[in-house]
Order: sequence, then structure tokens, then C-alpha cells
Amino acid sequence: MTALVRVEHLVKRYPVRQRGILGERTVGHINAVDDVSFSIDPGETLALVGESGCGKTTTARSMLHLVPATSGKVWFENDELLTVFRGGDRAAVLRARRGLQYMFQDPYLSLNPRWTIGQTVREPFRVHRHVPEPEWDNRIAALLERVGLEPAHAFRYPHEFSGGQRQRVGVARALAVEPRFLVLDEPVSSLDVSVRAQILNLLVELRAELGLTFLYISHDLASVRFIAHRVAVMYLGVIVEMAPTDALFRHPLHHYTRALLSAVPVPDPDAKPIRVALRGEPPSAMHVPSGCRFHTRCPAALPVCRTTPPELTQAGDGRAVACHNPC
Amino acid sequence: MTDLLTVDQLRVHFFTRSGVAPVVDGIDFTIGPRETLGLVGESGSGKTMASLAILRLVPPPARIVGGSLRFQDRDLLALDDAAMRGLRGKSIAMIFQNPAYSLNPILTIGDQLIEILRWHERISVAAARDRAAELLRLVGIADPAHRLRQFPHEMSGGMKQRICIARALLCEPALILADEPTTNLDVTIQAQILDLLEELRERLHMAMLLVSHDMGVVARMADRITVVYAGRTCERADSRTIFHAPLHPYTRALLDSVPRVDRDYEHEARPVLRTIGGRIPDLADPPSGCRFHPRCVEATEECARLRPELLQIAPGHFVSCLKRGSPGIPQG
Amino acid sequence: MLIAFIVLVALIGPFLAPYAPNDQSAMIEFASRGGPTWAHPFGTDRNGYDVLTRVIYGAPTALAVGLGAMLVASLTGILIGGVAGYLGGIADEILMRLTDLFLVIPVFVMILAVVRLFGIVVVGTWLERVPFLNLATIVLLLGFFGWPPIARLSRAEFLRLKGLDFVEAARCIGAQPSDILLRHILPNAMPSLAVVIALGIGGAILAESMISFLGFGDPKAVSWGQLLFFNYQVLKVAPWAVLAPGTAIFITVLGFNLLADGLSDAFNPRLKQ
Repeated sequence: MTALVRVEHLVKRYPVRQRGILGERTVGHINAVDDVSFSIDPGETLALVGESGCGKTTTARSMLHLVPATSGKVWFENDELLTVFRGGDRAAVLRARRGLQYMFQDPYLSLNPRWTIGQTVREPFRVHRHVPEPEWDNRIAALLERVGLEPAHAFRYPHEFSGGQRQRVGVARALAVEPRFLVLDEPVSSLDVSVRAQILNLLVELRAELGLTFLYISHDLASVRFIAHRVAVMYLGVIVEMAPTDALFRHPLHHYTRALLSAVPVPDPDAKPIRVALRGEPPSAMHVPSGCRFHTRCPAALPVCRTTPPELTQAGDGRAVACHNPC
Repeated sequence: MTDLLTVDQLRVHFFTRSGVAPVVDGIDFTIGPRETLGLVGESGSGKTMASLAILRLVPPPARIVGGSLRFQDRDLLALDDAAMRGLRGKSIAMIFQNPAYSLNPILTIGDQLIEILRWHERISVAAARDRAAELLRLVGIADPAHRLRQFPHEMSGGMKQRICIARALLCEPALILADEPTTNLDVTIQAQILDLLEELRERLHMAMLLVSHDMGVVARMADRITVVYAGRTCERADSRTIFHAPLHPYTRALLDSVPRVDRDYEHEARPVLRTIGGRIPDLADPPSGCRFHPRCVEATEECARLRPELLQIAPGHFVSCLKRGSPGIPQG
Repeated sequence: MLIAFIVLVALIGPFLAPYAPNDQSAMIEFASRGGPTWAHPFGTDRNGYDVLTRVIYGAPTALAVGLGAMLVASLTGILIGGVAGYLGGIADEILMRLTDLFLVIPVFVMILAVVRLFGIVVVGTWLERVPFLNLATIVLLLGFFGWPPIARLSRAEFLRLKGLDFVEAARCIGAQPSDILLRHILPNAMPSLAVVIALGIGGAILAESMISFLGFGDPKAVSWGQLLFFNYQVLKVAPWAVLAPGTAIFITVLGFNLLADGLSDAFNPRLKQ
């Protein structure tokens, strides 16, 4: 099966500037995304997990050119997206925008507060015109119903809805162009606990019904276990481990993954997980440690870890890990 | 063992031009001298208001309108302002949710901590600085002298939260109120902070009120738990009972709807989480009778008519649900 | 509410005024500088004009000045500030330095100088016959020098808004930058801008009054500042001639300030909710 989406050697570098008297100087660089590659098969859900600063959100944003990548390629079906987005061919850009969509984390900021939600869901139709205009109202009503809202809600404004409902509108908007691939950027992190399950269920339902492929970004490992088929763990801009969900959770190979998993508190007072404590704080992105970036905090670091960065190597059963001394 | 803190039928109302919203309408719990009580609820449950009420820091236009608050056998609602100020930070201290916002950005850490010490105790600046450094070491911050001279923006989130914890401990309080202390932190840092809180609890014999919506955090830290919904108490019991044998429909639904890191979903063809339908009520216009009834799978007609009262089902286990036997009072 | 009143007066005043403003019949009746009477409720002024009439006729002038000046200022300000905020980089730097330059210029003195100069230059040319040229010049100048605060605010608002999720979502859908600017960013910037603009209208009216009072105004236009200018010398004998227009200015400017306050309040709580 050929992959639907393939990311090759994606890099996103940010210059760090300091204001002097005569203007700004560049004092260093942060490689938010430092050579990341992965692929996603049609119908699959790949989760990108990691803590703040690991580059998961930047990776996703770069894929859709919401943030211009420094270098690298992103393949969608047979097109290289970054070339398309940078080029001037509007028709090609629109075609690309129909294939991939993005769902945002913050239900309060992701909808234009001065537009009714009907207007928000109508916008994709207006831009793409992939459906004749008389049909739009029907489609909008159908979309709203599909995500669990009522067609009459189209006349109301975002501030009249709860966070969960606004996220549903976000889903409707993303689905309006009939995409094949959806980036879900922490879609439930800002929602109340009792509402998260509703949205997660909705996403799973839609995935089955419409044959969607997801890139699910989250720091909430429990929801990742629920929704993802495969997981990629990121640390300081690189992928340190990739594996099918079950395998990753049951038997992590990378020490960071192990520490991450053991740190998640389980809703069971009798559970006494074996904690892998990490030393110290995550290093500053401006001064990435030499060799393996994780070696300063790793409980199993070897001398070679300080000098040579490990490559992401296959480890059988669809797994890959970047470690000189895996678990 | 007499309880350190007793909160009984606390009521806090929000007064606005468009009406009165009863954001806290009957929350009760007790905390013993070395206990950790978990106050669990979602947004709109009133848990944060309840914790602010203990310190009488409820922001206008909200006001405490009823119930009783007793701490170390004193009636907190009867104390005057001066007495209350003497209590805050000294006997009862608070850790807030977002460390970035609860530290003054224009003062150094040292200045902020020293100010608090000198407000409550008569000590010199030098002595206060030493105490502050000692506490920073206690919360696991290396090189305290250097940190005391730094500003909050120079530190990471985890470090700021450690400073906030140190700040809470300055005067050796008997009770710490921690309002979602780890919600904004990364998972590994959260684990470190929870480790720290556990260790300090042991060492300093403190009681703690831990307010949270994260069932995992509460499972780890709390001895007893009070579950609140829309301003009212649903269930109170010790931790194991709540997790292994919950009685209230809301508690059960909440536990069922949370995805778990230790459960295998992959073998299910299409994984589904048990959800709670509907959404959290608008407290300006709350449901009649039992506030959970519109979303409850077991609700009957009387649930909309009667307000359930807390019933003791077993020693230490209280439930307010008509379907579990609680008495109900008619309510519009 | 106050604004509604002023606008009302401006609109229907000319139909209600008992006399044409240039009617000097009172003078003929030797009734000039007379106190308020039934025939002349606000009294008459130095030239025999009925004060009430002139005050009423002053209203549309005031509004024209205020709105006209702010229109120029707003369009310029929003354009410059918006582009600076949205594009950032070099464009931002250049435009902001331009704004700073304009802020440094002493507006009032400049306007006086230009008006005087213009008045001299225009004499004898075809421009002299353009009605209300002087007033129009003043309005344009007020707008021309009044845009920097609006530009500043626009830039701040556009900068803030362009980073918000829903703007990114629009980009993601495939909307083009012009679309995003006009349909997403501008409507959301309007609340804050409206407040500043309302204040600006009051300010422009006040400025024009001051200019006219000093004698630089348009002698052919009926404006409250002009009334003050004409009747200043008879203050002791016919105070009503100065009091009426003065009060009118006060009420109008106050009205616009209150409008700004009201707008500011109206937009805030909803956003908080």
C-alpha cells in the first residue's frame, strides 16, 4: 500500500534575534523541527506525541504550509505539497487545500467571533466552489447534523456555544471541502473531561464512515492510545521512536518513551507504576545537547550517546527507534 | 481526630445585572490534619470558587451567602479582615493553576518571597533571604542564591511552579490549597511536581486540598475524594471506594468516559468511549431538582422535581442521589 | 443618545430655523446685540444675525468637519497601520517610522500656517470660487495630520489578529490574503477602532472651533468657532452670542466622548463572555 502522506527530512529553523541599539541581530537558531521523516497510510491514524517544545505542532503546521518550512518535502498522493504552496498556481494550491485540512486546539479562538457559524462553514464552499451554489445550504445543514449540531444553529454566533460545540463546528468546517487527510491538533485538550469523550467518539465515527486519515497531535497519552494506530514520539525536534500503538504502550524501546509513559497518572489508586524518573529539565532548544539530544537526562546513557547522534533504525514489527542503548 | 477544615453546605452566589447565579450551592467536605482531599469536578462545578471561599478571597460580584467554614475550630466567616489576613499565607496557603500568572513579573523571586516572610514574621531581610533559599532547596531547586535574584520570566514552567510551592510553604502552613497545580505542565514535569508534593506532605505533616479535573492525578495523591457537579456535592468517599465502587451516576459516568493509558483499544474494531450526553449547565439558569438529571441515564420524573440531599450510605461514604436512596426536598 | 440629538438638529435644523442665517433684518431693525426675546430666542449677535439660527446651522458644519476629518484619517490610518501590522518586516519598519514622523509635527501650527498660506495663494485664482474651500481645506488637513493614532492602533490590532487560530483556519481553507484582511481581520479590529474614531470626531470638531476662533476659519461657513470669533469682541454686551455656540461645542464634543465610552463598554463584556 502506498502511503497517502509522506514527510521527508522536514526542517524548520527559527532565528533567535536580539534587539540592539542599531537594530536586530541574530544570535542563534532554534531547530524546532530537525529532520523529521515519516509516512501515513490511507485510513491510518498516526499520533505525534511529545512535550512542549518537541516540535510536533510545528511539524504539522509546516506540512500544511501554515508555517513556511525551511527545507524538506511533503508528499500527498503524487504531489509535493511545499512546491505547490510556494508556487503561484492558485488552482493547484486550491486542489491541495482540498485534500488536507486542519483542526485547531482552541475552541474559543478557532472561529471568527463576528461570523455566524453558518458563515464559518460556508466559507470553504465559497473559496473552493466545488459544489454549485444552490446546493450550499443543504450541504451546510447536513454537515452540522453530521457533527451533532442542529441546522438552525447556523444562524448563531460562536459565543453562544460551549467549547465542545465549537469544536464540532471546527470539524464541520474541516470536512466541508471533503478532505482525505486531517490534522487534529490537540482537539480535545481544551475541553472538559465529560465532553472529550463525545468529540473523540465523533472523530472515530467519522474516520470509519468517510475513510479519513488522521495525524493526531497530543500530549495526552490516554487519548492517543484510544484513537491512534501508530505513534511517533518526538523530543527536541526529532523523532525518537515510532511503533504501532499497542506495542509502544506495552513495551517502549526508547528511554524517553518509557519515562513519558510511566509519568502519566492512571485513574486507579491501587496502581503503582514503575516510575522512570528523568533528571533535570528539558534543555533549551537553543543549546541542543551533543550526540543524542536526550543523553543529559537519560538514565541509561552510554559514553557513545554523548558523541554520536543515533539514527532512527528499524527494529522489526513496524517499529523504529533512535537509541544506542534501547530498552 | 478532629478535622482541620470543615466545609458544610457552602453557598457562593454570583450577582450580576442579569440575575443571580448560584455557582456553589451546597458543597461540603472535611480535611483531617494530615490528609489530602481531592475535590474533583469539571468547569462550572464550583470547585475553584469553593477553594477561594476558604480563604475568603471570592472575587466580586460573587459572595459567600451561606454554609459554614471551620478551620482549626475557628469560624472563618466570623473573622474580621485583619484576622483573615493573618491566616492567609501563614496557616493556609494556596498554589494556583498557572504559575506564570501567579508570580509578579516585575519583582525578583527573592523580593517576592522575602516580602511574604516579613509580612507574617518579624525577621530581618537577611534572615528572610536565608529562609527563602532553604525552601528553594527543599523544593529541589539547585543554586537557590542565583534563582532568588532572577525574574519569573527567566524560568521554565516547572521551575515556576516549584517556586510557587516554596512560596506556599514559607510560613509552614497547616493546610495547602492546590488548585489544579499541574494542569499547565508537561507530563514528565507534572510527575516531578507530584513527587515533590508527596514528599513534602510526608516531611512537613501538611494537609492538602487538591482541586482537579484529572482523575489520574487525584487517584495518585488523594486519600479521600469529594466529587462536585454544577455547584453541588455528588459523592464523598475515600479514594479506593470512588474509583472501584462509585455510586453516583455522575461519578460513574465520569470514570467511564475517560480514555485510559492502561487499556488496550486496538482490538476493538471501532473503539468507543462511554460518554455523558449533553453539556454542563449554565449556572445562571440551572436545571431544577437534581442538577445532573438532564444528562443522567437513570433519571426519572422525581429527579427533576426534588433536590437530593447527602446521605451516608456507609461509614465515610456519602451520596446525594435519589436513585441511591437520598432524601429529596422539593425545589423549583 | 446625545449624538442622536445633535444629528437630528443638524439634519432638520435648516428646515426649522426661523430665519435664513444671513438675514440681517434684525440689524435694520436696530435690534442688534439684543438680549433673548421671543422673536430671537437666543438673542442676536453683533452682525444682527439670529443666534439660534446660526447655532442650528453650525451643527451640520460641525458634523461635516468631524466626520469628514475622521473619514480621511481613518482610511489613511487603517490602510497604513493595517498593512504594517499584517505584513511586518521592512514594510512595517518603514511605515512606522513614517507614522512617528507625522506624530512629531505640531499639527495645530501646521494647519494654521497652511490655511493662511492657502488663503493667500488662492486669491485671484479659479479656486476662489469653489464653495467652502477654506473649510474643506481645514477638514482635509485635520484628517491628514490625524491618522497616526489610528495607524498605531490598527497595526496593533492587525498584528494581534493575524496570529489567531481562525485566521490560520481561513488560510488553511485556501482564502487569499485580501479576503482574510477584509473579511476576517478588519471586522474584528473595528470595535477598538470605532472607539478611537469616535473620540477623534470630537477632537476634530474642537480643533476646527479653535482654528476658526483664532480667525483662520472659513468666513463663508457657518461654524460655531466662527460665531465665537465674530462675537468675541461683544462679549460684555451680548454674552448670549458667545454662550450659545460655546455650549453647542461643549455638548457635541461631550456627546462624542460619551459615545466612545459607550462603545468601549459595549464591546468589552461580550468579548469577555
